[in-house]
Amino acid sequence: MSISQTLSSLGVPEGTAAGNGTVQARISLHNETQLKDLLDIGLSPQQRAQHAGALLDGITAPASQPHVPLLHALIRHVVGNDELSAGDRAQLAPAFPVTAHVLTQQPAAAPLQVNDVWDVSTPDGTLKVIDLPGGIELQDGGCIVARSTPLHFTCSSFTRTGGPPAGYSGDFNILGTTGAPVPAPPAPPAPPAQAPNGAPGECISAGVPGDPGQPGAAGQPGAAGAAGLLGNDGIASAIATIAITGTLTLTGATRQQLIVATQPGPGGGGNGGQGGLGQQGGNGGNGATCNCTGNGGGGAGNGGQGGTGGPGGNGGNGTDAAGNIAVHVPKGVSASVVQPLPAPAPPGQPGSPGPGGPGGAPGQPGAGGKNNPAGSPGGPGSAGDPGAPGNPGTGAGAAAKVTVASH
Amino acid sequence: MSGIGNLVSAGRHHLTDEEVGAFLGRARRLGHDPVRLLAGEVTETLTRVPTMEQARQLSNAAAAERRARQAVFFHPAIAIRSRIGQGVHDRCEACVFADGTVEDADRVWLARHFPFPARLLSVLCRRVAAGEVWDLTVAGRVLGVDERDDVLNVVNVGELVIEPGGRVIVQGNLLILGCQLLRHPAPAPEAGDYQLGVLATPHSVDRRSGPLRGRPGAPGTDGCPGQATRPAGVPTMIGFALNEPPGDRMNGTGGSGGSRGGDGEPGRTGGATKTAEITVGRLAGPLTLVAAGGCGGNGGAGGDGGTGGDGGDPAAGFRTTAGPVCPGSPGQGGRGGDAGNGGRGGNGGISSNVFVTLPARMAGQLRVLTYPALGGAGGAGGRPGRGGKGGRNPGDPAVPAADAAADAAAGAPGNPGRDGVRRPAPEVFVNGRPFAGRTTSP
Repeated sequence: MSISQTLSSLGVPEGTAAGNGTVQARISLHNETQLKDLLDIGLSPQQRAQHAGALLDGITAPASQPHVPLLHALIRHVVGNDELSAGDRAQLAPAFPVTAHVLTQQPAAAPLQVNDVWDVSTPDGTLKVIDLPGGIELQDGGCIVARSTPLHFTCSSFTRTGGPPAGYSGDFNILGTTGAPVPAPPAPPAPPAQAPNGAPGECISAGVPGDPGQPGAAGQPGAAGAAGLLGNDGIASAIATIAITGTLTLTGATRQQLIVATQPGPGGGGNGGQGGLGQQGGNGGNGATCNCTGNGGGGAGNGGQGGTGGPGGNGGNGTDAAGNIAVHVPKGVSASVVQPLPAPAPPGQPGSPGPGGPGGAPGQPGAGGKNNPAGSPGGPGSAGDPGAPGNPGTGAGAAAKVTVASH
Repeated sequence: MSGIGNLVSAGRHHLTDEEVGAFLGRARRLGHDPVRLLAGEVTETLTRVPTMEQARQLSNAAAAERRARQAVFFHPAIAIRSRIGQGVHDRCEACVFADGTVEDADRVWLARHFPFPARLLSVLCRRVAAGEVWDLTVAGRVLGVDERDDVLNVVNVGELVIEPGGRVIVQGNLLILGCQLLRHPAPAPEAGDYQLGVLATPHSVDRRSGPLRGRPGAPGTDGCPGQATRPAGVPTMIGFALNEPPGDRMNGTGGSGGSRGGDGEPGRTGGATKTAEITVGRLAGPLTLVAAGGCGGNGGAGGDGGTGGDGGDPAAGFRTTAGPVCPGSPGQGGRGGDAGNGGRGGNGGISSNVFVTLPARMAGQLRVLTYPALGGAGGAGGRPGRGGKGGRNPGDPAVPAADAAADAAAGAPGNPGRDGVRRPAPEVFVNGRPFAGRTTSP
C-alpha cells in the first residue's frame, strides 16, 4: 500500500494542491498500527529488520530518558518486525493519538522542484512524512533540512543538479538544534537613589556665617551581576528514513554523489548578568545665605563604581543523535553514491561575561551662599569590571550513523 | 569707570533752558562732562559709592518730599519684615530715599555693602521708539557683585520721549530716575499698556539655586516583562521525550513592577522688586506706571510612574511520549509604579516702595497699576504607571482567553503640589502720598 493510499485510509482528504502540486495535512494517528501503516515503504521482512536495526544501531538511552528503550521497541515494531508486549502497549497508550505532518503530491504530478533551503522541520518536533510519487528535482542551491524532527521521506525519482547552498554541506541535512539561548540574569536592583547629601551650611547668627556646606558622600559601588546560567544542551537530531524507489540521477550534480550530512545539536551558552549601576554621589550641602553674606557650598560626592559583571555561564553539552539515518537507493544503484557526512555536536561555548555596571553619576555641587562659591563638582564613578569568563561545555554529541541499502 | 555711549541728537530736544541747566547740574554731581552730554553723548559710570550719606545725595528728593516719604515708608507690608535682614536694607533705603536715620547696629551690618555698587547714567535726550523696551537694569555681575546683591541705578535724563508702544523698565535695581521732561505723545492711556515699569529681578533671590520653575520629577523606570520556556527533550516519532517534568517553567512569569516617579521640585521664590524713585520735572501726555511683584516659580510636575512589565506568555502545549503537556499559565502583569508628587509653587517675591515725584498739576495725567507677587502654581501630580498586561495564551494574542491573567493595577497618581503664597504688590506713592486712583490686579 502506498503512502497515498494509507493517507486515504486514514481519512486524509485529497485537498487542493498548492501551486507546486503538493498537499499538506496534519493527521492524528490513534495507535501503533496506523503509525506502522504510514511508515510502510514496501520492504521485505528481512529488509524491515535491517531498516529498524540501522535506525537504532549504537543509539543508547541516556540516563535522563527512561522512555527510550520503550521508544526503541516501538521503532522495531513500526519499522521492523518486532511485536509489542501488552505492557509496552499500555505504556505507550498515553502518547496516542500522535501527530504527523504530511506532505504529499498526486501521483501524476510533475517532479517537485526545489532550488533553495527546504526546511521541513516541524515546530514541535513531531513526525514529518513526505511522499513524492511524482519525484523531486533538487536544483542548484537547493537542499533539504530537518532539525530535530523525525523524517520519513519517500520519492519515486530523485534528481540532483548543482550543489547545496552556502552554509549547508549536504543535499539532505539531518540536524539537531543548538541549545536554546539562556536569558542573561537581570541586572541587580538599582541602588538607593543617591548617597547621603552633605549637610547644608549654617549661620551662627543673622549675618554671621558658620560652617559651610559639607561635601556629599561618595556613591556606593554597584552590586555584582548574577552569574550566567548553564547553557542548554543541544537538542538531538532525530531518526530519518530516506527512500528513493525509482531513479536516482546525479549526472548534473556537482559532486556526482548524494550527500547526507548530519550533526546533532551543539550546546548553547548562558551570558552573565550585567553588573549593577553605581550609586549616584550625594549632593554637596548648599552654602548658607546669612542675610547679606554666607558661606560656600559643599563639594559633590563622586559617583559609585559600577558593579562587576556576572561570570559568563558555562556552555551546555552537545547532544548525541536520538536516531540514525537509513537511506534506501533504487535497486541496482551502488550504495557508494551516497556520501555520509557526519559531524559531532560540539560542546557549547561559554556565555559572554556580564558587562560591568555603569558608574554612578556624581552628585550636584552645593550652591554657594551669598557672595560665596558653589562646591566643587564630583566625578562620575568608573564602570565596573566585566565578569569572569565561563567554561565551554564538556561533552560533544555523537553524530548519527548513515546506513545505505538498496530498495 | 566711565563709558561713552552712542551719540544722540542733542539739538532736537524740547527742553527749556532752565530744564537743560537742571539736567547739567545733576550731571556734574554725577561726575559727567556737560560738554560731552550737550554734544549728544551718553555717559555711563560704573562705580562704588563710598558711604550711605553719599548715596543719599544721589536722590532727587527735596527735604519736604523726604519727610513726606518717611511718614509713609514703613507701612505694614514693610514693617512686618523689620526684624529680618531685609529690615536693615529697608532702614538704609529709608535713609537714602526718604528721611530715615540708620542706627549704629545697622551701619555695622551694612558695612559689608559699602562702597555700594552703582551705575550712573546721563543722557540729554532719549527717545524710546514704538515697540522698544529701554531696560535700565544693571546686572550685579557687571559691577562684580552677587546677583542677589543690591545695585544702585542712577539715571539722569534731560528729555525722555516714550512713543506709544515704547517702554522703560527696571528689574530689581534700586532706581533713582530723574528726567526734566517726560513726553508720551499719545491721546489717552490704553488699557493694559504702560510706559514705566518697576519690576522684580528676573531671577529668584532665595537661598536655592537653579531655575525659577521647579524641575519635573524623573519618570519611574518600567518593569521587566515575564517569560516562559519550554523544557528540553528529545524529538521522537511519537512526540517529544522530556528530560524532566516541565514544572513551572511552562508558566509565564510575572512582570516586575514599575518604579515610582520622582517628586517635582518646588518652585523658587519670586524675584524682588526694589525701592524706586522716579522724578519728573514736566510731564507731557498721559503716563501709566506699573509696579509689580515677582511671581513665584511653578512647582515641577511629578514624574510619571513606570509601566509595569507585562506578564509572560505561557509556553504552548505539546505532545510528549508520556501524553500531552498542557499550555502553561500566563503570568501576571507587574503593578504600575506610583507617580511622583508635584512640587510646591514658590512664594511671591517681596516688594519695596515706589516713589514718584512730579508737579501736582500734572498728577492727573498719571495712572498707576500695581500687581501683587503671585505664588507659583503647584506642580501637577505625575501620572500613575500603567499596570503590566497579563500574559496571553498562544494563538490568541488579541482577545484574552478566559484563563488569561488579568492586567495588573496601575500605580497611585501623584498629588499636586500646593500653590505658593501671594505677597503684596509694591506700594506706589506720588508726591509723598499713596496714589489714590491706582488699580490693582487680582
